[in-house]
Amino acid sequence: MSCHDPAGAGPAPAATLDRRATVALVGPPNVGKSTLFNAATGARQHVVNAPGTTVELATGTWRAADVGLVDLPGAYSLLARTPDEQVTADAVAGVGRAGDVDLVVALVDATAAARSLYLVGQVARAGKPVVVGLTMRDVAASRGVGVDPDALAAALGVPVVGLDPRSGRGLDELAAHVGAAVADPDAARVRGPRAPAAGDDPRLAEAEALFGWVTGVLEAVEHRPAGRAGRAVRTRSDRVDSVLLRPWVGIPVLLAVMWALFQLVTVAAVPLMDWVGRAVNGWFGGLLAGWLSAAPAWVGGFLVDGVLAGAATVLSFAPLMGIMFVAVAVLEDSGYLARAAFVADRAMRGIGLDGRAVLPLVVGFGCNVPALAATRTLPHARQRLLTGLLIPLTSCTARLTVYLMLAAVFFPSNPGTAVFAMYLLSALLVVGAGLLLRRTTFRDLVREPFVLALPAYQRPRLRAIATSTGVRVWAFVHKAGTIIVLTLSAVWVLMAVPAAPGHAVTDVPIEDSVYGRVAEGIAPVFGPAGFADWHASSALMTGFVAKEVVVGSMAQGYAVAEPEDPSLPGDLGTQLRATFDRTSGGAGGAAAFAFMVFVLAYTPCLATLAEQARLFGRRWTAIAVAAQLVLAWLLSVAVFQVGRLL
Amino acid sequence: MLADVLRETDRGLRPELVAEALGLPDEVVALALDHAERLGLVVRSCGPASGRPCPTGPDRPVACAGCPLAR
Repeated sequence: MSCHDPAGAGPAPAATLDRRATVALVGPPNVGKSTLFNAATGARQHVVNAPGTTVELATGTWRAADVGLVDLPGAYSLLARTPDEQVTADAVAGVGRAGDVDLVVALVDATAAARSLYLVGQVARAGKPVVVGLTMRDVAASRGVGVDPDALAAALGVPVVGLDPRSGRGLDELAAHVGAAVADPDAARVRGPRAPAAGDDPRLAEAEALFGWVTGVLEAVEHRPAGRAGRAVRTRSDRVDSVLLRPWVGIPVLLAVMWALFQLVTVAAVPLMDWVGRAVNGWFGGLLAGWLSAAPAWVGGFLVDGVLAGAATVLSFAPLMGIMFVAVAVLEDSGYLARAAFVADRAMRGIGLDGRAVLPLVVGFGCNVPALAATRTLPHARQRLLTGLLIPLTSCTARLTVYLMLAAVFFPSNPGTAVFAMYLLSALLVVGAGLLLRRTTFRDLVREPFVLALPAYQRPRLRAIATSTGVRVWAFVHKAGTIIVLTLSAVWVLMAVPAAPGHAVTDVPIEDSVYGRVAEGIAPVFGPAGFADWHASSALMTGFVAKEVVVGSMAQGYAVAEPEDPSLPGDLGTQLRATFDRTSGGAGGAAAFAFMVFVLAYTPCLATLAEQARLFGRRWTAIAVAAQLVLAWLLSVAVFQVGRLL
Repeated sequence: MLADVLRETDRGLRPELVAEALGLPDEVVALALDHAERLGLVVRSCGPASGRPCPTGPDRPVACAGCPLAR
């Protein structure tokens, strides 16, 4: 079981862990914390946001040690520079709403022992008992660097366990030491940096004591090959990187990987999504309708066309999310994601983002929902949030059906150019909105830490990936699914309830339903954009749920057959041409283009919205929806007003 | 140790030369400078001469103030 609460909605992690002692995993990014956490807790974990933040925390039960385990965000230092580091610093200090911890399991990366020891020293100064897990020894050995666990234990005065989180080696020994340390915390006090003597600047004195301690421990435990200051030997990863990180190799490889991801979330996922949708809506829907045949029509309609349709939408997204989580985990686990970030870094920095943002933004052009899920690869919560706000502006393939149909009707001589213009505008919107947000709401975004080491290439661990994928897909189905089912059920009710006499519930044309009246009511808002008509506003309302159904909604509104191929609109095209020409005063092309721009810029779909709410909380989601509606309206009005003059 | 690193940095040495001058691992010097940056004691250099891209956004380092390319 798992859950994932939006910011501010979840309980403090420590409070979720019964009355067991709470143990926190602390270490720099890429040290193997999450792998260790997954190996220790299995499926007994929850994914929550640290209260009041959008920083993701995983909590679970480590049965072997009989403790609750919290996987704190990776931190380079407890002098926090990012929200993620602040959550870790607060938890170690026992302040803030993230809860207190009884014991810290500090992971020391043998390939970057100095940085890990620096963090251990800071944890020790905070007064927490510590058990140390020493990871990456094999990678360090391949570089000619050795760190002796026994010597480290002697230097620190606390248990040190050699670990391989990928295989689970050392986990039982670590659990035994953790259990013992919880029972006797005094046996796990690090002989850390001494309190500095009073000086002119206490911060400098503290730092001197810390670095003196780090270099002292390092000299005692680390063995490096001879050479200037112990320069490490060249590894296989270094040799691969010497080729892969060159622009003329790295950029084509990155493009190929992005193309493959794009194919995965479109070509490969669509048949699976269709199959699940058909199985739930068709097979199970038929069964359910049969069982409910004796019940009143509205009961069957509500359960089958409302609730079950919502459930089908959620479940049909599950394979797509699963594919995305696996793909991201494989890229991350293999070490390639860090290289992709390196190659794309310069372009992404243009909008103040980390290079890793290239992955979710590219995936967004396939589907926004898995793209949001892919933001978890970004290192900081604020970067994840900024990227998550930009993703809905990437034009997903669902919007393509609307572009194709309107381009075929209104720009028959240049439909390709009109569609291309939408994608160009989408890219410009991402860059423009990124620059705007970076200079306003996200002024606090910080650059990467001074040192960013590329992890060694490794073989992905399929079992661990399968476990984490299962947990995350369930979190999506459980949390985002609730929002989707509730909203689709509400839409069904609005469409089923008549607003004019002479109709029965569930047997009412759209224009006479409450839904149709709402669409009619908001239609004048689109007057300045040239499409003040209830057919158009009704299609936009339906498009709020999913862009795939915009064309179908229009066909339903005009009571014509939905075209098999959106580029051959038939009767629907004739109706649309007449409507847009009428509402725009003869500038139907400009109005249609404005409509396409509105479809591009406003909320992509309900599933995207639910995923945003799950990841970033309802407040940010509401802000994003409002901002996109305003942006879409302003853009479409500008496009129409300029277009009608041409 | 941090004072030594800052003293050598104040002489204008790059981190790898500071490491060489003090006989310390590069990693430790980089770590010390990162710590000093977090304390606000040093500002990271950037731009073509350093091999690091110029920062974007409104919060540029003080060191960018005199750069003709800074907007």
